[in-house]
Amino acid sequence: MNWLDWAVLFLTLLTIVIYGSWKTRKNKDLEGYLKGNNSENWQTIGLSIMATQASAITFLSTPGQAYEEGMGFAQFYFGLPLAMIIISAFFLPIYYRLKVFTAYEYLEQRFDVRVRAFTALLFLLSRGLAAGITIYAPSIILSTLLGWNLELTCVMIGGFVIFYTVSGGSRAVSLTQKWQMMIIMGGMITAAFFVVQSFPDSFGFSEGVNLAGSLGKMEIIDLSTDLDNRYTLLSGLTGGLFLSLSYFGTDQSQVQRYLGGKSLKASRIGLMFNGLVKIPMQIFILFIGVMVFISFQFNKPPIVFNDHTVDLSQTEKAELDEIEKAYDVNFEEKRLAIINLPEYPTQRDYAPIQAMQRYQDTLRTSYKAKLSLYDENYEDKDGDYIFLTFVLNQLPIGLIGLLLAVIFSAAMSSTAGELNALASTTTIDFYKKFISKSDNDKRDLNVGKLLTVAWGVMAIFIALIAGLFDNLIELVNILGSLFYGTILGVFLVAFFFKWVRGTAVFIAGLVGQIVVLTIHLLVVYGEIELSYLMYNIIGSAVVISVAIFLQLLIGNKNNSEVLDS
Amino acid sequence: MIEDPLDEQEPKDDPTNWNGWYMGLIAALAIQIIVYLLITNMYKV
Repeated sequence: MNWLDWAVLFLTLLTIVIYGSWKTRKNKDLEGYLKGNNSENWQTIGLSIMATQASAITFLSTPGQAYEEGMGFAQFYFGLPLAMIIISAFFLPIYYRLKVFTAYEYLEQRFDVRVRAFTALLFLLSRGLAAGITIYAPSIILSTLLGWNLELTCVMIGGFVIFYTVSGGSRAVSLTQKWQMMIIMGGMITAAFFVVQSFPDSFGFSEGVNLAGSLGKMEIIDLSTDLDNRYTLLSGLTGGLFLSLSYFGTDQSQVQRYLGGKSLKASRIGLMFNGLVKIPMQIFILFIGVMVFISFQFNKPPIVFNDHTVDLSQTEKAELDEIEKAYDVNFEEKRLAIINLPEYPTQRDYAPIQAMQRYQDTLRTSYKAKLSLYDENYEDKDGDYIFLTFVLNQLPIGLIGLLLAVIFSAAMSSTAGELNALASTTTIDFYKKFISKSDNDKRDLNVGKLLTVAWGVMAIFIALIAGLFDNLIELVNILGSLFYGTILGVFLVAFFFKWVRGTAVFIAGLVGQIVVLTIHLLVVYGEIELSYLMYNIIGSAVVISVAIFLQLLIGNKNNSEVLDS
Repeated sequence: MIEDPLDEQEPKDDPTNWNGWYMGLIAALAIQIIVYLLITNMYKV
């Protein structure tokens, strides 16, 4: 990497970190530290909600996803605007009126302390592990492609985040997220411009879009009702709605962002902004991936984007070389066919290119299958490496540094939101509730800061050991879905079934969690096939129905006891 | 008996027509879906 890239990367990151810490250095009490004294405007709320959700892996994976499978992934976000409306109309006014620090605090006022502790514990468990992976996932990609030291990258991302999250608390997190989000969007727009610039002179933007369409990359909407298809309009509007409702409505890392608003109105507009901008943003990032795909029709991409980790024997190398030779010949023929397309190509003109693209995909698949056979540590899903490979090979000096700053900013912004929320939940829902009930501003603030450091160190530790466990990332990704359904179910009962009380919902929560875990085990052992997105719907449905049933039972019993006496 | 926060009234100091905002957001989602559907059909292989 050139010195200019290093300079751009470090200047961008340091400026944001120092600015965030300096602007928010005067925290005197726990309220200021955890809620930023309710001072954020809607722009800061909207951008920090988006920055918390968009982790580094979002910007690395999403273009890769479009490169391989087209733009259908966008449908996953179609339920999000609907979730924003429900949260804005029902969740937010209650959180504001009760002046809660955490979402779980409300559950004690609505039900009892058991329900509050139960949901807070589920949150700490899933988010605590996820914070480590938020650091580890981009670090492993950066270290593989740039040869950086993995441990140092993890410690650097974690260290920066701990520094400003501890010193400035929630307000520093929101403020830095606002600037990080601007860097991210600026960087992605610049990248999009250079992707199109990398096409040959004779091949324009509209030709690129037409070619992408002919190769099946422009299909955004899938109207099928087949449950096996992961991304359809139906699954986006249902599964996506439940996932967004759980994440934005009950996950403290998001709730804390909009609870810091200066008014209910500011928080609501922040949510509306997220609902309006999120889908176009995802479409834009996916479209960059599609344009990277077109750019790689002229600039030969490597047959696989991540390399093997062990030395190969001569025979193994020879077998791989043979596939690679066929890949090179096919690529060159395809490139010439594309360049020689007529001015107004028809389906017939595209047909040979489509066939050659299919052959290229087959060669890639068989190459990866062989690598997986020779090297048991080889990760055959290389989609996360595609965008960064493009950035490193095609972007000019200086811009590589900016795009790396985008990835670091995204990693830091989501980690900061998570640490801030983990510390708040531990402080408010456990420390202040069970250990020290009396108010002492200075001591409480110090405990809040100490817990932020503790969760930060824990996240770095998980990031450092993550590589030792094969399936840890996958486990953590589904861990959220394992618990989200139950938590959402409890909140939906709280908001919409006023007559259901604590005991019924607490037992229902336990039952819901057991049901989801059982279903997951059946999926793991191949007994049933089910997308983990469905866990959210199932978990919520079980909690709501069991809670209603139990309340009817307990309610009737209580009524008959009253009548008997 | 626990007092249910839902029973409390909305704050009166905010004259914003939130239903208008919500309808607007739903309309924006519907328009986007239609546009994406048109793009999908235009480039259907």
